[in-house]
Amino acid sequence: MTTEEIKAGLQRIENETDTNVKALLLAALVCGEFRAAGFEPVVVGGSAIEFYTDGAYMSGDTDICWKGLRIPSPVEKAAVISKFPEAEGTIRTWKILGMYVDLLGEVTTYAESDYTRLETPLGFVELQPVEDLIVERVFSARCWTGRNEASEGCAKKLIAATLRGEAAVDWSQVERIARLPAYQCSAEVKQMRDEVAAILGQTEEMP
Amino acid sequence: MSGEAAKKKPGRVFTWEEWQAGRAERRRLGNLVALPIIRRQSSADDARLRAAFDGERGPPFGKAWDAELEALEGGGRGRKLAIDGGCDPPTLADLSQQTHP
Repeated sequence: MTTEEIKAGLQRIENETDTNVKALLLAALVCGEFRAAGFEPVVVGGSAIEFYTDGAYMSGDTDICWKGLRIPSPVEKAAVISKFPEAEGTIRTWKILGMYVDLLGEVTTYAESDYTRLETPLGFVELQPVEDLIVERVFSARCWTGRNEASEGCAKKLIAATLRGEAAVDWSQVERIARLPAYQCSAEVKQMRDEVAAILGQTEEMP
Repeated sequence: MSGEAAKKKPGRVFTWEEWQAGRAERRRLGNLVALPIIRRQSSADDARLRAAFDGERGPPFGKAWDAELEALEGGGRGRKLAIDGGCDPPTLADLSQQTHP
């Protein structure tokens, strides 16, 4: 994008009032510029969950990791971000239009599923596979030192969206990831899925 | 998913129209199984977020179509029904991110 096109995109974002839309459009703009520079950005964690669920979860930052062979160096990050007028930040965290974009490291994924692609008027973003996110949040919710209500809510909202067909999921992948040594939370995932299914009045069984 | 644009089951690609059309339904479903607002109350990025967002960890959600959420936000930016569990433990993603530059 030219500087003028980026400015126009930022103006559009600034005019939005919905935080989720603002964050998504900003992520799309930033990801597009990094792709143009040869990198493969992926939106991860809570930001990805918010885009999947609209769950009023997102804090004021969007986390971006990288797939593929190349991870941008601090100089390369700065070179891309400098295209955004009035952006300020450090090596990891950049503030653009009052919102934070965290440029992190290599994406952690155990899923064999495709990344989810979300197209916007300002380009597309790729989201961490929902299978990873479900297991990660169930683990955080029920396998840590105590019950974590925020992660519990995230996991349940994600599961609800998938059970009702609002987000594509491969439950065999979820089960496989949950059984991995990294998580070992297969029983907890099944339990939460059953709980959510019961609330939604569904009776599907885990594969 | 509500709306003509998004009647088919979603795959791994959402158009803008599909994503927009499904927002209210995804939110409705989520609210059936968890509290409306589940923003974490703290994390490693707490200081800078609260400094930037008037003491909160992020801006208001601003979902104009969600009157309930709007009311909650108006009454203390979602604190009434938000999770209030002190400092959350890190997720694996948090931990892996901490190792990145």
